[in-house]
Amino acid sequence: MMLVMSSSCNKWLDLQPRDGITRQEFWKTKEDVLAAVSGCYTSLLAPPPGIGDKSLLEYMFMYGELRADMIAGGPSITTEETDIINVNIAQDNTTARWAAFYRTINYCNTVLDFAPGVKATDPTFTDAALNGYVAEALTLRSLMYFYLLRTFRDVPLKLTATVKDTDLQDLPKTKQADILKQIVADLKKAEQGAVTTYGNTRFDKGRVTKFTVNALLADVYLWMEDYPNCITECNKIINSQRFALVGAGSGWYNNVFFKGSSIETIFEFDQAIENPFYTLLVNTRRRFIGSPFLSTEIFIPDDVDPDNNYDIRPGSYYNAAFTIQKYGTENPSYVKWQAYRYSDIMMIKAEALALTGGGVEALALVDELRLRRNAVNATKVTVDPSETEALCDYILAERAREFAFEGKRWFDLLRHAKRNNYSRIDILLDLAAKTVSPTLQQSAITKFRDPNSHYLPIYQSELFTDPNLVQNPFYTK
Amino acid sequence: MKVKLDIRNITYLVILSAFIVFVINACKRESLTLSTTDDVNITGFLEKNPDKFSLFTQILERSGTKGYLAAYGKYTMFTPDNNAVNDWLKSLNKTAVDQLSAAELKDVVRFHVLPDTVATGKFTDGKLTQITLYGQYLQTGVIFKDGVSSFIINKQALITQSNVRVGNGIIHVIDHVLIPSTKTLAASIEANNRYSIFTQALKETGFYDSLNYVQSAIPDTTRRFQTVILESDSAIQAAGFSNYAALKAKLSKTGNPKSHTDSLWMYVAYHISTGASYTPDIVSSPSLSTLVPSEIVTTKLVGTKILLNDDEFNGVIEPGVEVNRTFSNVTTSNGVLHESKGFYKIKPRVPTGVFFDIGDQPELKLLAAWRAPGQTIQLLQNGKLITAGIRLDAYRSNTIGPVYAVSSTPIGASDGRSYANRDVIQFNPTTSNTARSIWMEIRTPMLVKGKYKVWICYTYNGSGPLTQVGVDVGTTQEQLLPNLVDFAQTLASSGVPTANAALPSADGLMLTNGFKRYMATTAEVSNGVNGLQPISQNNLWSVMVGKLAGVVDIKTTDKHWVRFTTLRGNGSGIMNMDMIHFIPIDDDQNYPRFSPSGLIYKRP
Repeated sequence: MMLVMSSSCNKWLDLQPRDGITRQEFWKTKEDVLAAVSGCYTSLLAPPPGIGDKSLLEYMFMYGELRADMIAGGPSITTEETDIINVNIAQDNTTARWAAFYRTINYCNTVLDFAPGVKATDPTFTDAALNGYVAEALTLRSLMYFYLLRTFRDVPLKLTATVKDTDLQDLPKTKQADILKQIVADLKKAEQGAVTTYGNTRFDKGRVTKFTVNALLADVYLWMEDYPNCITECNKIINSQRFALVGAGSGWYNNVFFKGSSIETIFEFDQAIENPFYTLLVNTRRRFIGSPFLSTEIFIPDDVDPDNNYDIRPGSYYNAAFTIQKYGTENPSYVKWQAYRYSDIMMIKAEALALTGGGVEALALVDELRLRRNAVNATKVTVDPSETEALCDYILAERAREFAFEGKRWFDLLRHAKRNNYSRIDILLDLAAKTVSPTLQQSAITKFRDPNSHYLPIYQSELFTDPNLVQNPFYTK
Repeated sequence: MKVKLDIRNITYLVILSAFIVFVINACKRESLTLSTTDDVNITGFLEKNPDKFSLFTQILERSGTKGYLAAYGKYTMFTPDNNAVNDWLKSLNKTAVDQLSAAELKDVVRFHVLPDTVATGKFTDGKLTQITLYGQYLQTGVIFKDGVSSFIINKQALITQSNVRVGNGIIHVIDHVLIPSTKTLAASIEANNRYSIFTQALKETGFYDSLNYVQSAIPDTTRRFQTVILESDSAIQAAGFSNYAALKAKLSKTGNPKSHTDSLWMYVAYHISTGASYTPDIVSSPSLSTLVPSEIVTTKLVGTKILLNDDEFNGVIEPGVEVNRTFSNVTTSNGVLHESKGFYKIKPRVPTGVFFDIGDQPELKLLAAWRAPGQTIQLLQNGKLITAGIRLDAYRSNTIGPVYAVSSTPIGASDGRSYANRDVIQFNPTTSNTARSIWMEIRTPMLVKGKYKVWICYTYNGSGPLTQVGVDVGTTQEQLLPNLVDFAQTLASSGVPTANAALPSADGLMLTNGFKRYMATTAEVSNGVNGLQPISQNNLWSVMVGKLAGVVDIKTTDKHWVRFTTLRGNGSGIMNMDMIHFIPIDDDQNYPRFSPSGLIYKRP
């Protein structure tokens, strides 16, 4: 009797769960750190098991495209999504849920909090390896905050991990400018630790490298209207000689998007997890299709010989029925989301140059990209390099063609509109005149005059759970 | 000392203490939730915030509407805060709510309450679809003031707090009391010195009185609300009429402007329509009916401009006039006023033939595949038709719909089957297959009112469907055409066999039997180029068929819908429809003829 009791006691008294690993058991070796960092990347494509949310990528796509002019409602668009297109947004619109971004931020914060402690238990875990992992987590976290601050403007800035109930904090919002400062500081730190190569092309494209940090930093500086620093970051990538445009041959789309890891890509989401785009864009019950402006304003066909003289991009991006095929038509789809490509750096640099008196050089960059994409004369604009605004409009139009459906369009429009204290607000007013339903058009145009309306509301349940959050004043009246 | 236990005492103590405990506990109030919700209703919300709403609460009390708004139901109340009520009282030279009568206050409350829940998401650029209990519509919009955009109600009050959900509805807090319009349409026009010429025209044509009714007194209930679009004096002057006398001299031919045949009467009547149409209502329907029988004003939104009568007649674009948004959406007690930037009136037109190539749809013209050889475009895409000018009875399938196709045969190849401009609409209707449509409708170009023979021009298909053609089916102007169109018939069905097709009498014989050739034959020449249709080659001359569906009497100069309803068809045979001709009944029905090259052939 005693014997039986003493031997079975072991498990009775063990409080550790038997079907998982606890934090105390986990952060022991460098492999554990790598697993945790991989988890951060995985969270970009799918919510964790048991969380019934849309994938982060779906939010990124919607935040970047829904309010702009490149997509339109498909057969199954929801009322809430139509409301966003119509600038008719209330705080109970579920598209404004930001939880997916904060989940990834928390994974990054967990790595940042616990990875340094692993050095104590794993002597083979070098400083360089630690700094590399920290750089990856910092960069991904910065990318998340960059999306959040462009979508919601001021958001809570959480820089420590939430691993138990007592870590929960009712954070107030942090100003967009302060979050930007934090991002710049984090990325500067990440640049020191990040590797230039993992010795493997897929990792070089699918994980954060020094060039990913530079690319994100260039984009952030452009948003901050800090053009000299932006150009510096672009030059680091260009001068590395590691990236180039893929030629306009038949394999361009296939190499860059379908296969991925091309010489053009700086950072892509490369996980063995299906992306959300089959259901979103291809399935018969798709929610979004290409907008009618694609053929009339963005990819105008050549007026002389459209069959032989055509831009290589539109044919790969969408079909005659305006179904968006950039992410493939297969179910499931594994086409990789391009976070930054070399062409992005060219256009970012061109924009920064255009705004700092480097019009000639900027125009050369645009021309180079157009040449490689076989852009047709119908979309060519003759611009005087000294006319900054005309040049910016041209760059903006080329960005629409190059990054169609890559979740960048609304942020591009907003960045140009807000430049110099909203000197180009007309860009958004014209947008509303085109995209909004006729019965709401005038209201939408007037709403867009108020910069608060350019940012989404905080979803109402966030306001209930965090009493320190204050709603964007545009949505309370 | 030995303590003696007194059992009785102890028992007594125990019972006593138990009793005390019981009494104390009984006193404690049990906290049970006795209501299903602690949400307050409209009045409850106002009472919870007396610092903001004490005055409006007094208004509710004094008007006797408080109980009503405290009860369950669904309402929307635009609620002025205390500052708003104070400003309003001051404007009335009153100092307190109780200086106003209960009846006056009741009207105020009725103007602020809608019998439905309307959140800001349902606001538009115009009126709210629900009418206030007072009987006037409220108008919504957005205004940009001091760097901030806010919702504005009736151009009077800004919303300061929106979408407050309470138990029986929604509250929107506003910064001014809403004041209903007291002036009628006629009085509002007269009071505005921009409209002196139009005012005079209203008076002399007798419309002044019909626009001056107070709502409750209007005998014709369809005219409880009316919409007037009018021109300012300067717009009328810019059109060449320096004053009212000049306008009258030009238009009033009968000398009696009250006569319904007088052009001045018609000019004014053409500017008035029934119902309260705010700008969003105007842009969301293709035309506005007017008080002139069967005359309409077409409307369209181009960018942000609202254009009236901006139309294309037989390829000629007639520029329209623009609505002046600054002076539009003016609410009056019996309707709404808009101003147009230019002078417009009914244009006298004579009916002319309309030769409608049905592939000529604006949405298709934007596509690279339009009239490109060998191309096809599925018109049913993403669950709806991409062409606004074609519709089906129902979208039964996501994929099976009409198809636009362009022939791949080179122009001049001796194939009888080549459509005008090489394009055709193919449609596959059925009476039996639930995945397909029973009918298809096509919107015509502008047709001037008059009588037309309707020719359906198609290519023969041996298993094509049998259809009945109707115009404006389902409306009060519905006309079903007498001849059924069988897409399985060739021109030989006209009674003219191949052997006789080249005879001079052939065209006349075919016409008598309701058929015609509509493609130019090799005998006809345009710009030195011969037509392509063989005249009497076996089976080739007869496949491009023009079939007379009947005569339609178009009553309104407008775009109309032509419906093809299937009477026989199992979904396996398509109709290849190329053109529809509307030819005034007294005009030449045989010419012009058409060609794949786009050339038009007149009667030789």
